[in-house]
Amino acid sequence: MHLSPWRGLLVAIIALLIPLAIVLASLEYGSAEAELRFSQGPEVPTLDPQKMQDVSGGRLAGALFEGLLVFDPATSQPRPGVAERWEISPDGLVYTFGLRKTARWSDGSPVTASDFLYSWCRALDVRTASPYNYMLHPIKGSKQYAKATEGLEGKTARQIAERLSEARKGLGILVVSPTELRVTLKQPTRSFLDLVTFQTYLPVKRECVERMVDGRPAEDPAWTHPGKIISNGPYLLEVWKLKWKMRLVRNPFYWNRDKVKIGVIEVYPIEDANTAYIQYEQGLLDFITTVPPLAAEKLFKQQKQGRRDDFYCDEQFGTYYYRFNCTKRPFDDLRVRKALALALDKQELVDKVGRLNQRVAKAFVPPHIGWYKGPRGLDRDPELARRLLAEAGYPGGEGFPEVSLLYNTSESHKNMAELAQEQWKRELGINVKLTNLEWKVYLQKVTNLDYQIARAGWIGDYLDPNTFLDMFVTDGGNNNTGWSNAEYDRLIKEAAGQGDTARQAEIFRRAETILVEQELPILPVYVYKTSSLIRPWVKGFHPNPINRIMFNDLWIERPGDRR
Amino acid sequence: MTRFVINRLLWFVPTLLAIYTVSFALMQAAPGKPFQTEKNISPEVRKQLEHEYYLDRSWPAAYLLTLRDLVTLRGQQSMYYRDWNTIRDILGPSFIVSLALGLLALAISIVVGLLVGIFSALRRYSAMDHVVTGLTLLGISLPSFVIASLLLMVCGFWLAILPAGGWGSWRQLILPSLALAAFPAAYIARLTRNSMLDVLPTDYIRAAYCKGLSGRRVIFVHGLKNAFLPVLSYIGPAAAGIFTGSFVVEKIFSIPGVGFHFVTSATNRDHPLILACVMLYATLLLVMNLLVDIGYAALDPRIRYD
Repeated sequence: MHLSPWRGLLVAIIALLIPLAIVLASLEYGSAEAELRFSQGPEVPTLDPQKMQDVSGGRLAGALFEGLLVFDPATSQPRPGVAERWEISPDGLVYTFGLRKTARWSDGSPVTASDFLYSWCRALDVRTASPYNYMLHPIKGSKQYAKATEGLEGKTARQIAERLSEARKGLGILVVSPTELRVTLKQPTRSFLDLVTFQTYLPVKRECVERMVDGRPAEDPAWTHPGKIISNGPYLLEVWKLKWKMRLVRNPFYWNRDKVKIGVIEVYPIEDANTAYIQYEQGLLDFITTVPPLAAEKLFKQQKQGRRDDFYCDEQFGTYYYRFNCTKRPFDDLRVRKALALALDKQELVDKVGRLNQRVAKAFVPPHIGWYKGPRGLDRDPELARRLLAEAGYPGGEGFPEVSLLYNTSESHKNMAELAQEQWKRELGINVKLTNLEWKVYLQKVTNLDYQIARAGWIGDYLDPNTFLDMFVTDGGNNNTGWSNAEYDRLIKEAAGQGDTARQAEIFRRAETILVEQELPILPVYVYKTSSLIRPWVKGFHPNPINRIMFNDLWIERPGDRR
Repeated sequence: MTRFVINRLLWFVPTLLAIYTVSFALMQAAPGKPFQTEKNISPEVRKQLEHEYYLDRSWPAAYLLTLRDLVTLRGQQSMYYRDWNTIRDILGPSFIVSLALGLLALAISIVVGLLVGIFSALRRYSAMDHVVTGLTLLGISLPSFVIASLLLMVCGFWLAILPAGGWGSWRQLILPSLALAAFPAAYIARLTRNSMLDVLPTDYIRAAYCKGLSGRRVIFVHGLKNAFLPVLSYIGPAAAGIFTGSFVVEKIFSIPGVGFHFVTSATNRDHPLILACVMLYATLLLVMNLLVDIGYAALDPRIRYD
């Protein structure tokens, strides 16, 4: 085949135009300015409140939807949302919520108690596969309702409807009227009002989520997309381009729209924390919640010296800890676990690796709950550690079997593990190997109890000791240590049903004492800190231990603004 | 020629099927389950999720069902990004972005590589030539994430002349395409230099000069046409490298492209997305290689495929 010069030129021009056209097609044109440009790290997996598992998703869901009650970051307490008032019966079992008549969905229709019944049933429904369905288990009849939703494959729409309405009779959620919802609990639950602010309890509109497929209602997996999504919160979802940007605009149907100061927010999902930080410093972003560790250290110093006023480094309601596999040698021996716990120099770990002035953790539940004071925990005591190790049959570390410390791939986990390894060698004379595995493989090993020591972290979803302590009941889904203690199980069960705050705190304290002073299936290391950068002219931001951000509480005040 | 092309196109089908089968098998064999997170989910929930994604069927059934979803372009919902369909919502838009970025990088690398290579061949052993050789050595030695991070730090942070990542405006195109083009451009420059040095002393070039043709015509039309062949055979692997290597650049510059999904779908054990990405890349590479082979025949009249 021979190309004449003219044909060749034509081919070349076409060959250049096609790529040019593709390039131009991929760009974006004429997008208006945003008032607040925000980044909280990677793209969220979903915006469906009943399906989400992550804090990032929860923040966005809190902007798009509003629950009965709303978490107030300034006080860390619930405040009125769709519900304008509520009553609790004297026995603490019945909660009656009065919904405000001005609450609207973004299609203009009123938000009613039935919407909450639908959404909460949806959270319990097995077919939704909600990872947080257990948040609704304090409600009477919730587990039975969930059971009734199993095995509905192949049934007709009528059979399903019949089975579900039958199951609802025993469920403690009652629509008294469109503006009154009555919830009955299994037992008095201290933090039920906190739970109600959680993302799983947010309302979604049935007509928006469901559509007819072959004559039966089925969920539309794309209902959260802009143009389809109907929401009742302070913001609407105008744009969502996966991994590119999300645009939230003030919702004109929101009952409290006059108090929503920031009109347009753009959320940029940025995978690399360094990129987000550079964009912030360049002025392309106004608020980021992911600051890379090395930068955080530098910013921390600058903030302390008063050279900047936009860096926040606050404690999180979470603990970094190590798990022991209590089913196998040597950690089936309590003395060995205690020896390693007493020998670890947590302050050195925090000073040399953490470097953000983190608080050393001697107990498991972080100290952010007002009404709960945990046990003191064990102080560092290398002498006692060495004695215990000798008692257990390994004097000076002699004869100690080869054990490995497992952690998931990350620079900071590696540094932490290396220092811990060195400390245990120094104080106890034992050799601990290090094993670094990719996240999913690491999770699988931990779940299968295929480790000796494993690094772990736990962040509480709401301010209650139970989110930490009920992990370690016998065969608990998140236990993963093989540890079992009948007294601990009994105490946790007893605490759950306790109505009286002081009594409940006391029972939790006794349980946590077993966990962190007597038995030690885990070794708490430090309390997590999160860092954020936020422009000084963005006001109303209240850092709080569970990291919620309410965008409708923020406002912009630049110097020179006329008030 | 047409017979050749049709023959190659027909071979696409068994090749892609083989790639699909191997990928499917590897995915089943990989340790780590898709719906595993630090907070364990209840067994009923896991069962429900596994049912939605064909994980509770027998291997042959899952194999065929997933194949059907891919071939009809119906796609499944991503296991990780549960609101989005793998093919329509995730790969469609992100492929356009990656294609744009990749083609731009390829174009830059070809143009720059050729010009630099020709220039240094003509001025062989001059100071300029040595500088160019040194730079190209740097270009092929430095990994793309080093170049990308350097560009980001220097142009984005210190000098702040270009945006530090993101996508949407033409200014945001510059740094990532430079980062991706660096290696291929350097390689093409070296290839071009060598092949030009082989071509320039030949008889037909001397004859062209004697005939009185202008220097530019001799070099760019007669010389380059022959010297271009090694470069052309490199374009296939170069395209492969650019499109698959874009993961690092996309992560650093925060670009919503496919390269990112290609890698993170594996770490997330997102089965539908993994398979869709693999099949996309496989098809893309097969097409690129076919285009390269057609280009060969077009350029060199000595090459006949039948």
